[in-house]
Amino acid sequence: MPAIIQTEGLTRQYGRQTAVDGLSLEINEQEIFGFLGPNGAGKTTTILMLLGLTEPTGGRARVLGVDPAHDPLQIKRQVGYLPENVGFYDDLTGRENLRYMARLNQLPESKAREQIETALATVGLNGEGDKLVGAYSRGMRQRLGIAELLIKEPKLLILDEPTLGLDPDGTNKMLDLIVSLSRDRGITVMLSSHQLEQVQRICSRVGIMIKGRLVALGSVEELAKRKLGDDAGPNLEEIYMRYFKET
Amino acid sequence: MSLLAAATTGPWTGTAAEKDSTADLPERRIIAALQYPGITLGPDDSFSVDLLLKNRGRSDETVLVEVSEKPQDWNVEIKRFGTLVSGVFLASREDQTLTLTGKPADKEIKKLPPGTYRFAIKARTVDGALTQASAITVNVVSAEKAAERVSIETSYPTLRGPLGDKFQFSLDVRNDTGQDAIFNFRATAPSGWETSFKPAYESKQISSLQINANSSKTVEMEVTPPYNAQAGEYDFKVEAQSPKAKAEKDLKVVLTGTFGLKVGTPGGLLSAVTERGQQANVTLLVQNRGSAAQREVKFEAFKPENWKVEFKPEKLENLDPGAIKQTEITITPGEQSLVGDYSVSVHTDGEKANEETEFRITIRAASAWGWIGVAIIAVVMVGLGVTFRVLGRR
Amino acid sequence: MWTICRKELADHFSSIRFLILFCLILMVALVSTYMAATSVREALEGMFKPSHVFLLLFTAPGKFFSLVQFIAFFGPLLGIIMGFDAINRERQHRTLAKLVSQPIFRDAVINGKFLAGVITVSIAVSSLILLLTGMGLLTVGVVPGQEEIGRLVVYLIVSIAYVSFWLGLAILFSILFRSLATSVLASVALWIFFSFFIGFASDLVADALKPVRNSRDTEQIVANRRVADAASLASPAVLYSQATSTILDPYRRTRSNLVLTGMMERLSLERFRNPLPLDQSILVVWPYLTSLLALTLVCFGLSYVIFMRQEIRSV
Repeated sequence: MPAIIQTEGLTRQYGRQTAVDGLSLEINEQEIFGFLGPNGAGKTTTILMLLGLTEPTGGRARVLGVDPAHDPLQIKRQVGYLPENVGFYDDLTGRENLRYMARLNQLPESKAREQIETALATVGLNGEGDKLVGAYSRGMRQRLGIAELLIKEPKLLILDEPTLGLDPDGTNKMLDLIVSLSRDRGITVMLSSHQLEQVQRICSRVGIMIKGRLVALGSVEELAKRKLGDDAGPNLEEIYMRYFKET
Repeated sequence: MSLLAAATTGPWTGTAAEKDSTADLPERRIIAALQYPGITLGPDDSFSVDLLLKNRGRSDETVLVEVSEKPQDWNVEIKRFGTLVSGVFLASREDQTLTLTGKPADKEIKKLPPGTYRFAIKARTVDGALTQASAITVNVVSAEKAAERVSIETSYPTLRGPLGDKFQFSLDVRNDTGQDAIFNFRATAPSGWETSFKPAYESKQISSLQINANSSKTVEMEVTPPYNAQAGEYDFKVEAQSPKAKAEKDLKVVLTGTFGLKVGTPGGLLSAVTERGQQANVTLLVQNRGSAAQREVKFEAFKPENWKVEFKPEKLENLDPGAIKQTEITITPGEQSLVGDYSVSVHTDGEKANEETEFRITIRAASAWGWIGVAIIAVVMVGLGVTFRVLGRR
Repeated sequence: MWTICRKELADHFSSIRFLILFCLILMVALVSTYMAATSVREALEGMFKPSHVFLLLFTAPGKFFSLVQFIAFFGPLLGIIMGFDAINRERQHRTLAKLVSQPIFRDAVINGKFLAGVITVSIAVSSLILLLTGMGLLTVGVVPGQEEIGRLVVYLIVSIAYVSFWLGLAILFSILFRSLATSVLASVALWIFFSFFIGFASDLVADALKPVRNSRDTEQIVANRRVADAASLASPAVLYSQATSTILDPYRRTRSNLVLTGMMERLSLERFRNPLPLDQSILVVWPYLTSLLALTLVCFGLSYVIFMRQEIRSV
């Protein structure tokens, strides 16, 4: 199985501070990868580097076989990125927001219309498409955010804290949506979060990042075996705390 | 004889001498003399001769004069300014002039018989102590001998005028021959000049004219110069000739020539375009439109302050009639001049002729600035372009 | 880029604050032109063969100010209103990161926004001038000549460049300042300073550099005024108003307010009182035009560089 994301010693420094320090990572096709770490551990920076929005100061990255530092457009065309706490143009309706994204992706008008309807249906917002986004609840906004990504039929989704601030029901819906996208459409998902319980629920593999370093990489079971001993249950929270204390 | 005045002053002094100073003078001495001892008259003339009286003594004298000798049929009078006098008072060292006139007593006598007539006067002091006598011989000649008694007179024997003008001499022709005569008029003129005669105030041309004896007529002589006449002096001689008598008169015409200048530029354009501080060149052509040569033509410019206007050459010399010479004008506008149209006047000053030429000097904005501006914009654009290339492809 | 430009255009034309400001400017412009037209019509009576009447509509002060002055003062507001929240609004609404993760180059965002602003300005200013031209035709009944139209076109272009400068400045502030209020305050403060207080400021500079110690010494006064003039050129508003007044008045021969002419020079000048041809008028103020254009471009370039170097994540 070819790796969708591959990094080697990826480093990003801001002045003296090292945000990401020698990150080497592989994410395979159709995986749901959980990217864990406390706030300010360098998760978002890593994601921005993968998208070509920030240039690494060292190391290499390949996303879908492309170097993001050289051809970010090629990557952005195929990768859907949901920023943390995504915003919308509140004075436009949900559909209009989607249409704007479709145009930015240079979809032909007829295809765009089709995609917008499918995406709205997928995230369950077909009823609210013509409401102003300003009137949306937080859960609806997050789902609209996913819909925006689906318009371009991405191969890879990078979701930054997609469930942050959602109520339990919203969180469940979001997680189900992610799982179904991965399962039904074969989309690879990279999920950054520090809500460990959710990550454990849906992710096939996780990476833990602390202070810019990737301290652990593997499936929850593997990590649990490695850190907590063979007989311990796959409790991501415990694994995480163990790593956190170590560094 | 009457005593006119006897205003004696001071005591008489003794010694007598014939010297200038009062002390050297004799006590009493008078001189009385007619100016000319003899004159010749035509048959129809009268004469008048000055009678000089002088007191060369130290004392004042009253001198009485009288005609002591005259032919019959002559009226002889002693006058002073038209008043008949019989004597004159002469202060010491004073002179007086009286006039002795003589003419035939009978007005009917038109012609005196030729011959020699003698007239004499006598002067004496009132007391009769001193006397003086003087005489004059008048020779009356026959009319035939009076050929020279035809005269041509004119008040203005020399006329001046510019080229192209006609000249009119007004001639008084007097016939004193005593006979009516027809006079032929003839003029000798430089070649090319035309002359014609006509009576005064009439327009018909004449070549001869009758003038009665002892009268005069006014004849006008018109002189037309040839069209190509040059300035200068021209001599004329006019003759009036009757069968027996002839008179001549020399006349002169001074042609002053015309003065005129024409000033222009080769293309006829009286404007120039330049930038501030950048000199503009204009060629100025000066033509002598007059008939007189211009010895020196100078130029002067009326210009804004801080402008420089130079002429090369600064003056034109010896410009013959019809000739064209040129001067190069270099106009340098001031550095602070505004953009727009300025007026610069060139005053061409020749002899008795001048010309004012106005130039419109258009100051254009320096286009160098334009290119600098374009360059700045280009640099900024290129800078932007480089920035686009370096930063843009993300 | 065109997609962003299109969206921004739609935003501008549907945004209420833009419409209000535009209507306000339009209204004042109409009133001032009407007043100018009335006074021009009065001035024209009995005048033999007047020239460049049409331009008088724009330059003649009516009751309070000429249209040109008005646009010089309030045109910048148009640019500021469109630019002050260009980038930081996207930040505040957290749409910037999403925007740049779409398959577009990052500079498309700022280029598109600037372009949309320039287009909006162009449409607004052109329609303003066209409207006034139409009104001038109606009220004065003078048809503008070819040269006058040329002058108006140049005026239009310069005005667009000038408002674009303020647009660029406002966009620069919208990049520099996260807060909408800071950005708009900074822009407006600069606008007020450059438009209204530059006179005092340049006087201060002149008094500091070339003080007038003797109020009867003309040389000192002239030197002082020269410095003041030069200092006031630091303001794009001064550059603009001097450039446009020269372009709209063919009898203005210099870009400087201070002209010393001698007696003879004045006489010589007054002999022919010809209007300058358009190209000469342009050349006279060419340094100002290029400075204005360069300022606009530099302002935009600065915004561009800063935007491109800024980290997306630091929201």
